[in-house]
Amino acid sequence: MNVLLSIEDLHLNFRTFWGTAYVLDGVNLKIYEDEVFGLVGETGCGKSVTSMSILRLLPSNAELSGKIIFEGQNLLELPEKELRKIRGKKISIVFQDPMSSLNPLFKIKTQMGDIIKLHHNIDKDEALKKAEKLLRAVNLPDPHRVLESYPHQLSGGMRQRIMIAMALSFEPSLLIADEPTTALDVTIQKQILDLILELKKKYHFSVLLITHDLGVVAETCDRVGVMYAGNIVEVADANKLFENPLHPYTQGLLSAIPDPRYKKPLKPLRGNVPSLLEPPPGCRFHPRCDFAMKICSKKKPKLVEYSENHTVACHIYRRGNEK
Amino acid sequence: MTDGPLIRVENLKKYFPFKESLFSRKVKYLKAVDGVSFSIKKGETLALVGETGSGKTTTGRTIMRLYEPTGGKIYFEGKKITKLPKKKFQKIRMQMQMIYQDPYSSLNPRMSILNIIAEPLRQLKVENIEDRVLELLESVGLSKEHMYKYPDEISGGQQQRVAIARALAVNPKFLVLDEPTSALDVSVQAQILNLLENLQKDKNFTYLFISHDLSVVRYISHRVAIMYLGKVMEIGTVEQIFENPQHPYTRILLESVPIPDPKDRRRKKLVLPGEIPSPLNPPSGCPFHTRCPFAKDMCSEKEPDYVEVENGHLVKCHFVEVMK
Repeated sequence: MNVLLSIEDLHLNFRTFWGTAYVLDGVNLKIYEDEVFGLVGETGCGKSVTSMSILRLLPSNAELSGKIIFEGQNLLELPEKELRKIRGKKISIVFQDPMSSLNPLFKIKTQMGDIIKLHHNIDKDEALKKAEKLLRAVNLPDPHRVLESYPHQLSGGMRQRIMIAMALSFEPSLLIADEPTTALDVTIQKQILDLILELKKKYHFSVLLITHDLGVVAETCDRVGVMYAGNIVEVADANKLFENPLHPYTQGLLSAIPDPRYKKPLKPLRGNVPSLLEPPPGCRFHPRCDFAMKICSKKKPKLVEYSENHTVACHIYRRGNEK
Repeated sequence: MTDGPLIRVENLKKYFPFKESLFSRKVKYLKAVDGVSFSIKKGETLALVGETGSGKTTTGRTIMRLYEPTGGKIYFEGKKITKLPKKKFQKIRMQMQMIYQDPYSSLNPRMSILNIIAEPLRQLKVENIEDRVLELLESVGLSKEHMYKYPDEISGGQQQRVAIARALAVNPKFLVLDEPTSALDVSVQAQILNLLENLQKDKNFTYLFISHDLSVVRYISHRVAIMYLGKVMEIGTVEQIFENPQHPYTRILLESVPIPDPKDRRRKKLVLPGEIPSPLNPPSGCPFHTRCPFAKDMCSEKEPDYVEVENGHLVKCHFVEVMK
């Protein structure tokens, strides 16, 4: 499999009134062609910010360093003009709240038509035809009526389908979906996830799915990365991660979620997520970890390969195979 | 005290009036809750489950009489509270407390945690307020150091604990929990769920747990009611609902829940077509017939009655085969 996007040692700090927040602390990540990669973690772990860094959609107080290689180019060094050829075209993004991604004052046809017209250099009629075709591709019934509607006249599920249709209009090779179903009901969530997988099969793009829901990850992703306080702590095939979680944080997360199939005791993680203004030294998880050793507060563990397609950043697994 | 249910709701209705346009004379009604009946025993948790707009929150609020019911009866410890005058109701109202989804907006940002919890105690003229507040804080897993902080200085999970402590201050018997963990991260959610469960064991609380998250419902509840467009479609024990769901809607809802196990993916799943219809203009007959894969002609004509498939397991569907 070929690597589509590779993030190497990505650091991100935000300068704030209270001091510098160390938001990403050396993120390493590879996304292969034609795969669904899930990035999971709790609020504030840096999963959304990682995706925003890929598209360089960050506020002006952000300090970004490292490399993001996409099709042989480092996106972080690309001039804005060049980046525009990639952003929204080769890499598109779908956000959590479809209502705030659409302009409430314009009809869908204006919003979709404008974008298609601009990027494809075609006239209005052709653009509308293309928009209609796209809406059919995302299984929206009666695309004509949808194009004539304002966002508030459509349901959350329909709006999210429109966002996906817009994201796909340039046949991207990477679709970033940032909590695409968090605002939706479970039955609609199922429809949207099925749709993304169906479209992926048809158009062969890769998906970076950002979510806090381990159930969604288990249902849709090929590979999974677990994030905690700005670090990727474990990356593995979905099957391996759920069957044999290695990092104490991953283990903690999995034993804290209820299972709809049966009642099992819930073991919450102790403590709270650390402040990123003063992150703990060494492994950022060590103050909450039941297996913490002396070294954990001194040295940050690197991501090492534990078995094939299963890497973990934890001192417990240091034996032998560190690269 | 008799062994009767703590809370009994009979044919509860809440209609909100609306006009189709600003100038139309005709007033129509949005039937948010339309004939809901259930009872909850002492020390039991009943979960109300449904999608957005199914009327689960309105049901909870109507039971608390935050909304005056349009019709139906509510009994608390066998006493009818629906028509009770305000003053008399207030005494009972104190034994019923509510916890909301967003803990931050349910706490006054300008009051310290001490004052937030002390407020109801002062009304009750409790002595040694600080000791009592500390006792309450400890019962929800907080300590003295939190007493003088303000809501924005503590985490979301801790805020929810404060909201719970405040509800417990008046020694309630019945708690309406409206999506109490939806705004929290999974690890914090587990803490709050365990706390609620332990409090119930200690003090024999009765819960009405409103949620859209079926995994959480499976964990916390004893009985479950599935709501759709203001009506209860199926009600039963947690085992009856999760292991032997009878209503097509319940079955599809359960199959839509993502399961945290990739091996489960291969199972063939039913997908629910379409979306929940507008409650402003609900379908005729069975409210679910527009999306039901098994719907027949009769479903759009006649609203089904409840069928008891097992002891206490009621299903509102024309085509449930009675298992005997």
